[in-house]
Amino acid sequence: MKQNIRLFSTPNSLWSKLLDSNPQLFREIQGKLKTRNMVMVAAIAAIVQFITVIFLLGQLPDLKLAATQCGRYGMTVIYQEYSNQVCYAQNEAGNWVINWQLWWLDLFIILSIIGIFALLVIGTYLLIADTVREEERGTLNFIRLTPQSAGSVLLGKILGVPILVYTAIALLLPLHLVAGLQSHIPLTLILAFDLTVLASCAFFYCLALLWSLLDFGVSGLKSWFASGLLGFLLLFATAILVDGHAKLAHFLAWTLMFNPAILLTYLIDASHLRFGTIDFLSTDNLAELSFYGQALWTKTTIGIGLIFLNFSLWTYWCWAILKRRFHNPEKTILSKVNSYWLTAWFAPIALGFTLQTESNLATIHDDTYLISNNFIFLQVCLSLFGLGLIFALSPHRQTLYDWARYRHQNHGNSLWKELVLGDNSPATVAIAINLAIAIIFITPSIFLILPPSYQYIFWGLILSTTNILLYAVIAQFLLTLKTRKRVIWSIVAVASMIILPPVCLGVAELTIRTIPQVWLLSFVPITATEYVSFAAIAVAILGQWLAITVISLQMTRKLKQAGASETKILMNRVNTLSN
Amino acid sequence: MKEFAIATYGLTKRFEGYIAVNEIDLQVKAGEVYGLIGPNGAGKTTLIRMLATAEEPTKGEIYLHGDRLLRDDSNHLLKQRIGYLPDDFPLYDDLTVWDYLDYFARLYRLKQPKRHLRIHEVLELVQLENKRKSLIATLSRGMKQRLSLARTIIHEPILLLLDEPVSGLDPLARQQFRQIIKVLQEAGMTILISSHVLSDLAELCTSVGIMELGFLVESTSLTDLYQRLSSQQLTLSTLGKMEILQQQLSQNSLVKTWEIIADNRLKIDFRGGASDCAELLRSLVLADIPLTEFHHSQEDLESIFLKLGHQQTS
Ligand SMILES: Nc1ncnc2c1ncn2[C@@H]1O[C@H](COP(=O)(O)OP(=O)(O)OP(=O)(O)O)[C@@H](O)[C@H]1O
Ligand SMILES: [Mg+2]
Repeated sequence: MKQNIRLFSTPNSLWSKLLDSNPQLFREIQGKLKTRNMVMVAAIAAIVQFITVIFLLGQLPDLKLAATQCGRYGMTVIYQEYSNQVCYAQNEAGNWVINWQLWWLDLFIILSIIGIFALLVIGTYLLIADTVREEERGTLNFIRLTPQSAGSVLLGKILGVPILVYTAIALLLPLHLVAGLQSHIPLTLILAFDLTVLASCAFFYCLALLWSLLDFGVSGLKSWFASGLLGFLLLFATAILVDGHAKLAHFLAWTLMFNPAILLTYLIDASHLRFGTIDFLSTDNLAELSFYGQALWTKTTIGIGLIFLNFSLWTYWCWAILKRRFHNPEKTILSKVNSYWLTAWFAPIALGFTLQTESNLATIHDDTYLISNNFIFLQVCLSLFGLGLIFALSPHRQTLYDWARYRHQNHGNSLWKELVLGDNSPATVAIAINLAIAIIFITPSIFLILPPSYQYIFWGLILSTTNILLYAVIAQFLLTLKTRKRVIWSIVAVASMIILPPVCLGVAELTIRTIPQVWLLSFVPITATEYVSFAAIAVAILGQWLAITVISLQMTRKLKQAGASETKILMNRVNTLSN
Repeated sequence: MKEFAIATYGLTKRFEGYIAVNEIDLQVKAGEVYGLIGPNGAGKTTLIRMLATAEEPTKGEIYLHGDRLLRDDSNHLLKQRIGYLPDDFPLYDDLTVWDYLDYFARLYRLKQPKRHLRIHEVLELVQLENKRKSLIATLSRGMKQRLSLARTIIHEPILLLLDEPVSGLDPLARQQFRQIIKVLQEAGMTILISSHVLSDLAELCTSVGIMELGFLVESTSLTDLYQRLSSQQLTLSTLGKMEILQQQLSQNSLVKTWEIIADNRLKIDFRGGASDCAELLRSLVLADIPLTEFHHSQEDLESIFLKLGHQQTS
């Protein structure tokens, strides 16, 4: 019962060529495609489809009942005093008239969402669990030593580890296709939907692999945490879609681009449902969403294209980082040069979703309010991005020590060149440059689009970037600590600096309006800059720079000390050896 | 530089303010069997890991047959030349012996039909033919070790890095292992072995390196090491009086000390070459001493190593 399914039956087929070209894929499939597993997967796929269909059939009118029955799939509207009701009627032949198009469409949507959740949540879980296990056992290190490229190994993992989920989805596809065609969705759109779901898999799987290759000093809960979080976010994003009344002219609507289910909007629209309604985000809703004031998501082709592009580009970034990470788990996650490119790409997109309306805003109060509100989200998003950069760019203790020690011998580069471009140098300068890139890109639109009274937004942004810089030096400082769990420590320290002040202030009932000055030093200074004088802002910025300088000096001193003590150890050894 | 299978320059590795390997310039000629010895914590494993690209050097360069070894995606060909057997060898418990070797043969780009031939070949070499359908989880430790060795050589590397390959093997298995190594050396591989079983190394190696506190304190051919550091010993037995023999010996300047080990048997610390040895024998015979034993032996690697009185890293 447990034997392998024959993989080699036709030695020259495309299938065996694929397996020959990617040993990792071969190994994953060999381990998982057992007859027992396949039977189980087929059974699960069949049961899920069966239950879904039975559930939907249960919504249809009871054939034995002669009285009027009302329900979702009726086609007769009965007008009543308070609300109209859709009920079933019989035609001349005595059969119930049923809105089959709506029924099939419902089936299509349910199957799509089940598929997306299965692929993304279970798929990422399997990938992370598998990779973390191999990393823990040390077997991944062997694979690193073979002449296989990182790309080939990682691709093998992505294609191979969730192979059972892929099988289940493949078994779901025929019914999915039939349901789509029966509800009059054009075939091309169904295929475009499937392709986009694939693209989303590519992105989330790359992200999952990247996550599993990060070293936090704890690995036990990695897979549960990541796929749980993803499942939760996906549930949230899908709930917004199904609710159908979301206001999309908002910065956060960006996140919907990462839920492939948003494509269903176009598919539902293209089915030209003749009767009845479906509670799902409509294309009219999507028209509210704009990018630099352009409503780009109204047209089906452009909308789908953009969503696909979004996934592809993020996948590209993840893949590039992943390949570097695979061979050098000790290096920083991002190289400094890459981080500049990433920021130069991230800032325009974030700004695009901030500027939701293009018209002359000074005259329309509502829009100005909306945009200034979006800027708060932009600032938070930028701060989070900055935190990510701190995590991705800061080298750890030994790397830093080695850098400080061998800087002169190794490269002979000037200190500034090392700090800006060298991957082992402290991250502070590079983070400052990244933040500067973002600020330079964002500033013009604050002054050009918003009325002068909104210039506090600019100071909010500046304050938040100095804040991030402060976190960066503190994190870098903590990363030179001697303890093993220094990553956790620096994360805890920065997180508490973000979370504790607002909580304390909140507990003390000191709101932004009562003493805004204190809030300048919080994670969201942009909410406070509106209520303080320029002098207070200047003092806050100066204070932060002072702290940054002191901590940086302290760290430089520590690096020098460490170098000196290492020299002493070495001298001692030479002495013991020569005796 | 091309003549060296391995050449390192200023190779250094630090961990957390601790210097594991310090400025090592190691040179190993092609075709050599190089033994790496040293007390626990001397840095042998760290050095070998760097040579196998399993660890990133803090500083320094590694050249294999004149090609710079870097730790990234760019050196498929160099990686194809290295076979590395780490001191702990994680295996996949869910695979059979055959599938495991097949997986690695694929990773090292062996194509059919060569792949199956090669797997049979290495299985025969490590004598695991009859176990090829067993799950790895069911193998004994020695078998696992041999399987790992098979994996290490599956792609016919020209440089073998073996980190304590015989620890945990029974004497018979160790002897088999030595035989395998000899076969591999005859096939032209350069082999670097770190081991604490010095008698094995003495039998296998052409050169040795001694590491201590992260330094490579000695790196030389085995014959040279013996010549410089090992004292020769002569064991003599006589039927006659011991006093006469001792008196005769004391006249020879190359005889340093001796030790009486039985009634009429003694052991000499001798500082001289082969011809001096013959000369001594002749003089003793000429002096009419009834010798029944004249046995020349050399101090073994183990006692040389102990004599050096190495420091344990602490
Ligand atoms: N990953 C690591 N992190 C910190 N220190 C390490 C690490 N690996 C090795 N060391 C230290 O480096 C030194 C050299 O270790 P190494 O394993 O190379 O010694 P060895 O010569 O192989 O010893 P043994 O004969 O016991 O195998 C040891 O003191 C060890 O504590
Ligand atoms: Mg060791």
